[in-house]
Amino acid sequence: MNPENEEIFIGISVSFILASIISLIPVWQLIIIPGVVAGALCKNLKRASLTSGIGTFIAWNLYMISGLALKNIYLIFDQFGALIFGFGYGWLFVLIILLMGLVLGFIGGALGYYIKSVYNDYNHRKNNTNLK
Amino acid sequence: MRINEKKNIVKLAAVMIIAAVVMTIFSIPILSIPSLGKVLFPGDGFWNIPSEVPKRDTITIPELLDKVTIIRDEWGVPHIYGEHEEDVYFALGYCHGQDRLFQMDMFRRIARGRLSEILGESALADDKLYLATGMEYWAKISIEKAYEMQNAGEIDFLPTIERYIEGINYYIKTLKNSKPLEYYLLDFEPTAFTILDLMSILKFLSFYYSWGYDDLYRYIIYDAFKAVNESWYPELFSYYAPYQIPVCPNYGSYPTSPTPNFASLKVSSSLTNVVSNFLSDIEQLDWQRELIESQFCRGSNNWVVDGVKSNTGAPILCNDQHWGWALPQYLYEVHLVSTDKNFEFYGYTVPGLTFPINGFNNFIGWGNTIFPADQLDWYYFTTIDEDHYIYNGSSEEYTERVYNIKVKGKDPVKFTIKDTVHGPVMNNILSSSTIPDSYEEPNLILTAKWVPNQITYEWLAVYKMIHAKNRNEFDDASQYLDMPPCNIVYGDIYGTIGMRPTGKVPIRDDSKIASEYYGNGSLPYNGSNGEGEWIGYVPFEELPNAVNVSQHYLASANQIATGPEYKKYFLMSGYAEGYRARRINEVLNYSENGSVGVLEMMDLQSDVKSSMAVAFTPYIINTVENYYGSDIPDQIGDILDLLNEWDYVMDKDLAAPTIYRKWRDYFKDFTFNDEFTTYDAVRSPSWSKLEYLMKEEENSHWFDNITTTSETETRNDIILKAFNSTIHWLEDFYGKSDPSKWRWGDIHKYYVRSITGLAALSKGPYEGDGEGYTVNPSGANIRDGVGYSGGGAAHRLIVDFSDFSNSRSVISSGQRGISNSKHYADQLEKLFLQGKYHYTYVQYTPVTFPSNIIESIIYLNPLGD
Repeated sequence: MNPENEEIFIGISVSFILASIISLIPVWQLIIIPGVVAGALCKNLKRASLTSGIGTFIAWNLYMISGLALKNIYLIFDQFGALIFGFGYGWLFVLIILLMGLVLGFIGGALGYYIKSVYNDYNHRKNNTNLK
Repeated sequence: MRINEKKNIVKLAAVMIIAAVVMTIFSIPILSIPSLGKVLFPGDGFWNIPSEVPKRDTITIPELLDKVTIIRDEWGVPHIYGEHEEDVYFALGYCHGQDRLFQMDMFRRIARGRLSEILGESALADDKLYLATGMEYWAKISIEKAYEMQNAGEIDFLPTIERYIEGINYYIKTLKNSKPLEYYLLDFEPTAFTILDLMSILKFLSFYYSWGYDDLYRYIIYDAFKAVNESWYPELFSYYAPYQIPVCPNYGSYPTSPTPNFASLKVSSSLTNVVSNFLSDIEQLDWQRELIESQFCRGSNNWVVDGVKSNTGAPILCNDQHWGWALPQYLYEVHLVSTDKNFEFYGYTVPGLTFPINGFNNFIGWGNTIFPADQLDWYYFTTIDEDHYIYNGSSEEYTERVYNIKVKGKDPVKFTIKDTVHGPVMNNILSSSTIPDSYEEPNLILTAKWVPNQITYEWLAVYKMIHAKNRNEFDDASQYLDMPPCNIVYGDIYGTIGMRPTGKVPIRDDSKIASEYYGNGSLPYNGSNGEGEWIGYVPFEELPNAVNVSQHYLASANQIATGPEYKKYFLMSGYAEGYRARRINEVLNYSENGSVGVLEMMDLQSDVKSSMAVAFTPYIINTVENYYGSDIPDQIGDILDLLNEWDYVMDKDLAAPTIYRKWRDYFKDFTFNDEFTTYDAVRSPSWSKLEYLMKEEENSHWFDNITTTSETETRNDIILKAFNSTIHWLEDFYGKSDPSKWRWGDIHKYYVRSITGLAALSKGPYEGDGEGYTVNPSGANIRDGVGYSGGGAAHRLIVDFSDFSNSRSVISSGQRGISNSKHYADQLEKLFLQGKYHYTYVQYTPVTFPSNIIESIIYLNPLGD
């Protein structure tokens, strides 16, 4: 596997595994973390964002499939949708959730990438200063 | 710092801002709806809502004495088998928690005046009303008495109630971050239940059935008419509803025009103001208004046939209690078996209450309808100052109850209730008006004296009833049923059938009111003069009672309890109009001995033949035919054909029910509205009073329209006028002049509302058979168009004493209040609306229970097992 593909594979795997674990914790804001971690492992912004977004998206997809199959969650979305728009909008929430998984993973990846970059810049400057 | 480093910092900041914006957007609640992030995203919110109960599970519970097995059948009904009764009730509490947690939470919050804590300021007035009624206060005192009895060795089952509560609380603990949908929507957490919650819910059950404002509405009418014509009020309300067939047939029967029992009193403008203002405050509360408007929903039917009438040789008992339809319904089916007390019971519990309220064990069974005994009197007192009022001619000090009502998002509100010798002062609790502080007009307060505001023993009654093995033991148990007052129909395996109107009925001292006044608590009493003191309660042995009667059946549908030969005590001021009772008696009376089986009983519980239509429709036909003679216009002829061919069944596919029903509304309006509107009388008389006038007093002055001075209308004029208005209205509503297209189901619908009131969680509308006065009732107001019936039978039970396994049951929702459960509305949609039932499966044990009807088995094991 070439290094680029390897990075993509690792990024997706890390964000997928972390997203799957974090989705068990009842604080939804934490879902940014898998992207941050996976993004920090990538060497360019595009790969960082994409791998993180895809990893989180896959994790939430699996969560969604299990929820739809085992917990009749679609009906809850439908009922919730009825409070806002009227009946029959459960699909909209399924779409929103999956898209938000993608978007939050994407943002997390970018965040991780830039945190790593700023950290590297800082280390680089510190090392240069010490050498002088 | 290098340029590249600065750029990265700026980009990082930009991404952080984007992240913050996205997260903020998903963290903002939309109006009353929680934030989307909190409820939608995996890991939180809706994903944690409990769905179906596990198919197989074993739970170790240290508190248990022995093993318990909970088998859920195909309808989600739990069959609970245990060695010890206490364990069985622990499991019942656990099941109630699994299925009805939010409903129980709402029950206790209503009963204890704690709605504002979760709903905010909008529920404050409701909380004040419920606290003022004294439900929580007297529940607390009743609990103290129960423990006193337990400590004295008079009873031994309080631990059973405690274990039931532990069962609920155990379930709450297992929820962790998971909770039913409603908790997310209202954003609050379930908290542990207490015995005070339970006892308060029990009081609330009485509130639903015996609290009301009838005396006050009667007063307003009385006052309105008194100045015009003193005879008007007694003419319409002296005998509230003619043509009664009494619940207990052994006290004679009524002629059409029985002895009046109305009350009367002196009216005063200040009392009228106080009463009017109070009622207008009360009508501002949604739930109270619904309670007032939907009285027909709170009826019920029960009957029993003996072994002579039945085709099984043993009694068959039926019961359907009528409540507002709700998702989930207020009743919960359960099958309980404990070997230590040789106890087995199938019946209905109210979630939040330990013991079933009706059903059957291996020996006996019973069903309830409300016995509309008058358990509430209103009094008015003259005040002296803020702390004193006049009672029996002298000054009396108020006692006070002070509450701090928690309000969501606000500071707690201090609420003080002043109590008198005849209950709490009610007229100042909802409005800004305070207790008048001067001995000048307006200086009256209004108080409510209510039977549940004392130590009551219904919890003891139901415990004894479910364990009774014969009529004597059942009677012994029934004497403790203080509230709500019930017509208890009874049957057993020995062939005994019985009917006993039961409950604590006050005896009033009416010696202080003038002799021409009838008293009986049907209008407010002058408390300051010492009128209407309660000097005791009708002894249980002297309440009406019917056992093994010669007609071979007994039936009640909230009609008058006794015939004229029961002269011992005054029991009731109001009762059902008797149309359901007429139909039930008609069917059972004409059923030949040996012909009545379970299937016939199923038909009768779903019966929608209108005895009111039987009474009214021939008069429409005769009057219209006579008016037109042989020269009948085509459309009128078609309408008469429809009515002539009609069998009075309120079938949703027929047009005749629509014509009759619309005509009926107009007929009543045109008969009474002129007087009632002109003189501001707030309620019109009963339908059966109108029937009486139509049949017996063709030229009654009530048919004359007092706003048309040039002519004197008679009954036939009003019938024709109503008929013409009906045609115009229906043509307009349906947009068709062909009467056969005026389907009843197009205008009469059922709507089953979620207890949250949210349409998203409600079911319907469904096209509906029947009407408010059919045996299978579904009253809807069609004055302005499509009518939605929100109430009717909450359950249907048929007990076959020859073979309990042939008994049937259904509730009008599903077992579970979890809105994404398959048992949320399955019985409603698959059974109830089609008039179908499920079997009770009481013949099985955990070993013999057929696997094809087992949906779930949960084993609750004690520690070390």
